Amino acid sequence: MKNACEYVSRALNNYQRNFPLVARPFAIVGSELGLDEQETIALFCKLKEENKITRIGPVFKPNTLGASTLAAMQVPPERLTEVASFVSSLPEVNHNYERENIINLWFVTTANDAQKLTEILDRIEQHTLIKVHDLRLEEEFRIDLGFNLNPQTELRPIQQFRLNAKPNPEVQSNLTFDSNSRPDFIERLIAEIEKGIPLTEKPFEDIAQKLNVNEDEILAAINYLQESRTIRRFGVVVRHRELGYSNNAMVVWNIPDDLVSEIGQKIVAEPNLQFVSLCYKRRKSLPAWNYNFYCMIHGKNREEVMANIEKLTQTINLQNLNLQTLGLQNFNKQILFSKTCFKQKGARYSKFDKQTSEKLLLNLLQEGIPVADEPYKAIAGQTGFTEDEVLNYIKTWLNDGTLSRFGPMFNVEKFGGEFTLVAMQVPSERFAEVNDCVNSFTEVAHNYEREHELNMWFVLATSEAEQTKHILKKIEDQTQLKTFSLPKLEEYYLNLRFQA
Amino acid sequence: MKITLDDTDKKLIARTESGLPLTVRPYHTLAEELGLPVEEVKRRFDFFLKTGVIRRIAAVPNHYKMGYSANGMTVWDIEDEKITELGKMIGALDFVTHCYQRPRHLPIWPYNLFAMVHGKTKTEVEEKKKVIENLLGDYCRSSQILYSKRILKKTGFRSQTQKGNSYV
Repeated sequence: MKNACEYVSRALNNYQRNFPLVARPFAIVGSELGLDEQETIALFCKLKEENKITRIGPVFKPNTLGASTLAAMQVPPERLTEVASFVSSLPEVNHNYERENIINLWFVTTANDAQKLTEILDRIEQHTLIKVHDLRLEEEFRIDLGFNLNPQTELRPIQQFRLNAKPNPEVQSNLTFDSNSRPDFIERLIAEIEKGIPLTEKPFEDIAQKLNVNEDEILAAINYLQESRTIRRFGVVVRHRELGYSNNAMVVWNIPDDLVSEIGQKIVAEPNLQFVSLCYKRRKSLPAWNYNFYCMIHGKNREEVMANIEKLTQTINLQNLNLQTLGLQNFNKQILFSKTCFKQKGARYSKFDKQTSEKLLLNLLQEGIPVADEPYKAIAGQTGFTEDEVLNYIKTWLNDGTLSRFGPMFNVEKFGGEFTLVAMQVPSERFAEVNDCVNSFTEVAHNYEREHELNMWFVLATSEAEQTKHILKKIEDQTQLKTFSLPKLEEYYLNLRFQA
Repeated sequence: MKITLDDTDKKLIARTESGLPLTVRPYHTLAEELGLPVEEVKRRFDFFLKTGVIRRIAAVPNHYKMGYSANGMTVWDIEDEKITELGKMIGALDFVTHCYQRPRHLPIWPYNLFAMVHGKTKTEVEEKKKVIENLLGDYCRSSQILYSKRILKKTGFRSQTQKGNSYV
């Protein structure tokens, strides 16, 4: 009987890539681990509960479904908590770390398109008044192929558990889905799988039922997304920090552009350098950040990481055009260990981010709907909801008071009526009684209590200007209090909108 | 220019002043309810929008629920010769939702310019008031912010089809 640790170790290491895309994947995984299907599902549930894995699902290639970037800021230490909190609060920020450097806040942002991404970074700058360095990816050598928990061995090689036995070489490797033109079904599929597949006997059938399609379509679509390289890998996403790999160093170099590719390719081809989990070239941000080449190295302790950095530095050599031998030791580098983890969650690409869509819906509804046979069609399209869902939101929001009203806003002045603001000075002991009296008039459209001697403020909306005088007289007679009429003499602006 | 409304217009207004029917094809619903061809319903609403009888067909938010709990009516006593020019300038500020000139009622009420400023906190509203103050400079003799404490009623315009106290 093998011990539990070994199951865990293999479960975590062997299925980060090429998780079987079949109807009963946990039966397959179980048969390899030496467990039955139920035990296997239970094992992964336990790992999820213990926060050792976040999900079993896709890792998308960055800048394919949307746009993403690594960003950095130089935050004065006394402001770090405040600024880090703000950055973490944005749903588009998926990782946020403090690192050991004067440029000390490092975060990854993902958005539906490049413009939105820039807007988010601008927003952070405007809010914090600190420059945000946008370190866009320029070339990748190794990204997120999985996290090797057992550096003595390689991550498990490709297994053929797929509907199509072999990957199709004809499929374009640079297929991108522009977020504006993604087919609806793919959109909904991404929304479902990006948070992870359910840990059940038939997870893809469960997803199929939710989306009202059949299981084959789900599996074929995921296959397609993998073959087109939209999905970089499909499998167990481990939380390396919870598994003890809490020392993570981002090592950066300033390498001449013409040498970067060669160096990057050498590193990822070198079997002794498997501890380099990520390796890429990014844009510089001069003058503050003069580095363009990045290697991420994770380890259980600082000494281990430093030793690996030394090994990496010594191993890579090449010849430049002048036939001089150069190595990584010839270039300026910095080592930025991570300190505090402010946020760590998977990137969300789906347009169906419900919260964002709901906010957008609330704002669009305030702009208005047209006079048309299907007046909700445009708003439905813009938010990703169906027309029925839009109406349900309106009904819910009317019920819970988020909206006071939904419909035509009449300007009575256009057809001979009048809006008049009126103020009254109401003794506090009589407030409730006077309030009931004033509110009983249908012509009283709004009524507010305000902090002033004149403490009751209401708007009279009448369809004929003459009526205003008469109503005010009635109110004065009924309450024995003076009314102060404050009609509009001139209107300079009227535009009531609230950003959700 | 005053728009004259005929009986059908008045019926449409009475039916929709508390809200549009919440169906996917609301103008069709209205047409069925009132026994009118849908093209006529749409034509009349188009007319209302074009002439400004209806500002727009939209959601009226409850700003308190959306977090804008500081609702500040800023009021200003401005030199009369300057009010139009300054009023337009203040009205153009993006955080001012309503801006009007209104009469004074001395001595209790010396203010002639109203500018509604909404914010999530009183501090936010006060900062915005300072912006207005700076713009008005010496032309402003006094000012105040009146925060609303409670919304006592918010129904919008209602034509005289309901019972209760009324002009009639």
